[in-house]
Amino acid sequence: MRQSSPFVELAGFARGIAPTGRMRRLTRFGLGLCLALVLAVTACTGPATETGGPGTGGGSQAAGGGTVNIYLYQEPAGIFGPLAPASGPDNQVNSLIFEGLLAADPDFKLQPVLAESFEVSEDARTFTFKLRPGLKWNDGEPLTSADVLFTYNAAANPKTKSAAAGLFASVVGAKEVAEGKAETVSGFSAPDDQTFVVKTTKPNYGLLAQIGLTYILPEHVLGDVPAEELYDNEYFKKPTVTSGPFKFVEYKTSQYVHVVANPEASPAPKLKEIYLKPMSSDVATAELGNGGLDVATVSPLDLETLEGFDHLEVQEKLGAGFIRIGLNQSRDYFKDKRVRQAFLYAVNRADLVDQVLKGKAVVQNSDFYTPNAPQDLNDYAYDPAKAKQLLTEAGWDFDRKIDLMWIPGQRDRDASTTIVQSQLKEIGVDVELRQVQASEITKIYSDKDFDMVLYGGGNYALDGSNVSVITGCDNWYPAGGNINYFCDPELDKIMKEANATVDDAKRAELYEQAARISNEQADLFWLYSPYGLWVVNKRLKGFEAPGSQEVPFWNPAAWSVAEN
Amino acid sequence: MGAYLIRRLLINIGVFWVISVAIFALTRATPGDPVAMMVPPEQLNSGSAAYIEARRAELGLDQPVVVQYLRWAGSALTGDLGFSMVSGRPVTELLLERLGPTIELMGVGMLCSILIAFPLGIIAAVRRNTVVDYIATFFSLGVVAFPVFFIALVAIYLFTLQFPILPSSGITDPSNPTLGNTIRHLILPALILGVGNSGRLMRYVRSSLLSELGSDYVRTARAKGASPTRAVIHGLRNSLIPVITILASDLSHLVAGAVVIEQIFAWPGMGRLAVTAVGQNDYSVIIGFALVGAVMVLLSNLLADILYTVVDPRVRLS
Repeated sequence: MRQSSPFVELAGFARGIAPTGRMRRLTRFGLGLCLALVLAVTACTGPATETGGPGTGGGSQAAGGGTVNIYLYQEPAGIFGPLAPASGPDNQVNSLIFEGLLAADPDFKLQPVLAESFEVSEDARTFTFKLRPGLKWNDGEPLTSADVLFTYNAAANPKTKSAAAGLFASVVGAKEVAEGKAETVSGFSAPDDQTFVVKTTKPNYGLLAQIGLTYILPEHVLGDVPAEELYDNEYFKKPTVTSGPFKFVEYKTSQYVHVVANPEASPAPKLKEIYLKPMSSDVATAELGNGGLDVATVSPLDLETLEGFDHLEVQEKLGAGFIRIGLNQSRDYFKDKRVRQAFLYAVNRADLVDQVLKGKAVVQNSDFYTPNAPQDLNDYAYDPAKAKQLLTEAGWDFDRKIDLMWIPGQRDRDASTTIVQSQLKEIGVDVELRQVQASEITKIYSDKDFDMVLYGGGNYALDGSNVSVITGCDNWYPAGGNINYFCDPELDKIMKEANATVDDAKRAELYEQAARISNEQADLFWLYSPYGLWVVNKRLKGFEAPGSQEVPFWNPAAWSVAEN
Repeated sequence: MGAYLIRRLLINIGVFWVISVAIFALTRATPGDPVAMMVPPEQLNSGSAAYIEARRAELGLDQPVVVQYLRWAGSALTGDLGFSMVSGRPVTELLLERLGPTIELMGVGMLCSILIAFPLGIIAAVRRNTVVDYIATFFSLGVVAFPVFFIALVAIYLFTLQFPILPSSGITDPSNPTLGNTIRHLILPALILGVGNSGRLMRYVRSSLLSELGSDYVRTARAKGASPTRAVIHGLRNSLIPVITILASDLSHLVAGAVVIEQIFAWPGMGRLAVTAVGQNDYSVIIGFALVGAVMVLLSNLLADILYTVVDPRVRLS
């Protein structure tokens, strides 16, 4: 009896079936269908790019207008306007549709926007803003100081869930409102339609930078809403009545924010519309290349890829904040400044900038914005021998193990922690890396349960007084952002004096003195201040990179699209 | 059959309840809370502590976890999954808005994976140990071995940058949302999702069909003069039984794959919603997403059971 194996059986089977070719056709059909779909649809619908191919004018723009696509590095939370907690992408949308009395230009100087002029009294306690004449909301209603008064009262009142309420603490009457004893802040007044006045309880020149940028809300739309209900009003999800150069159309979550030119704006915007699209940085790089995006921030690594495209140009802008390692000085072993200085000497920060950030950053040597700080500060150049000597002098316990916590996920920060760890190891300091979640970090701060923390951000360029938030003796967390628990009464004194000085030159000089103290005290373990790297399609004219990726845009009314 | 379905449904409701407790407990067990994440440390000011406290109280986050769960479960029973703690929008609205794009992507993705896997699996089985089989095997192992995000990035590089014939992100062109544009935006993500899942499926089709082709009834059919094609069709029908289980469990793979694909292609689906929500610790949205995922997996398992009876009359549900 013949006993054939299934294999032999099948081999014959296969031979039998092969000539028919049916199976092969079936396979081809499957693969082909998907591919055919690709080709057919591509052929039918013309060019792939959405606003025109690289460097071209594009098909979907109106004459004299034009559509521009901008990258958002994160999804907006979707609550726009001045009350929501600070969020980079939301604020970028805000900067196209809202206006404040003042705004920060790309050089981090305050410029009047809705205000025509502003004046600070000699004692730095009275701030007077004159509005530009003839201002209008995009629904045609006049914009007056009553709108400003309404907005500032709302923003200063914790009942509206305004995240910025704390910034108004120095305004006369803000305390009473916070405590529920008053409905409106007595320090705000609007003596006439064009004038708005703020009075403070103590000299506070920095208040201009803290509250002068607040986006103004329309009283005729929101004036009747009780303070408690204001935040949840639909307006903040769909703020169609605003005064900025662009008008909000819609936020399709996870897709785009769409804004169109506001015909009432003066000067009138040159573009027809803007789409702001959140996406991953990899896709953003591709879309810059194929013309799907006109503006995006990129990492130094992606920059190399994109520099090969003729239709793109790069704008570099030093950021207003910096990456630093906070040292928990509530722990005795960080109280000696020689220890803090030793850490700075131990790490080759210049090399770190070159290797990790491809040179697209500046080594930071004080708490102040580097261009505003004295140029002859100690640069703590790499010197491990000196570091070790300082540590020994300070009586550092070389058996001690300290931790370095950070929120992982950003390449430059991840690399920095490893470099710091290995270079501190060389001088005998044992560092344990500790990854934490963003959501648990405030609890860790409250418990003071860390040695070192690597973090970034802040804006120290707009006004030197912002440095007090991270150095002030009365700003120890949770009262403020001083999570180092650093305190130097002399530095505090000079900072307060500077903040009470209206004369620009004198104030700058005082902040220079403060920068020298900060540099000497090494209150923070500064690393670097990265450049914002903005890649812009050359067809877009008038765009000025505003700083790092989360910074609001400047003067979008001036943007235009070049016609070919 | 009817009694069986009712019993299964009741069991599923129990499973579903356990899942809801587990998910709720897990989100609350993660360190920190959504409000803490709203205020970056370098932006703390004298009002921040009071602000954080007030927002936590308002969202009920200061209550014991059990109270929080009971409150949530109470309103969930009425179909109200609460509000996003970040955007303040109703969770059901957020989920419904994303359900369409996700089903579109998953549906077309699954179709693509079937269209690739079945013909490839069949021909690999029929022409076993030939060059065709080796190529098919190489393909399937390749797509299983390469992570889907890598394939996606290579595809983006090729088809949107080097040969810019396809768009690389979004669901359509917002300034020109024609049907053609919508389909063009679907091609890359759906195809890659499909290709990524086809490898596993193809292997199952191949091995399942092979074992059927070796069985007696196929040989008998051939002996009685059935054409080779006809015999394969006989075998194919029976080989579907295990494949259906795989397809059903593939649904959960597709959900997982869609999370990655949606993230890469900026696809406004539920996966992207979930990733964003996790990044923001937006409890109510995370729970909502997980529950929808749980429902989908439970339902697909039920569907697989029912489909068994359709393809195999010997199977009785009781």
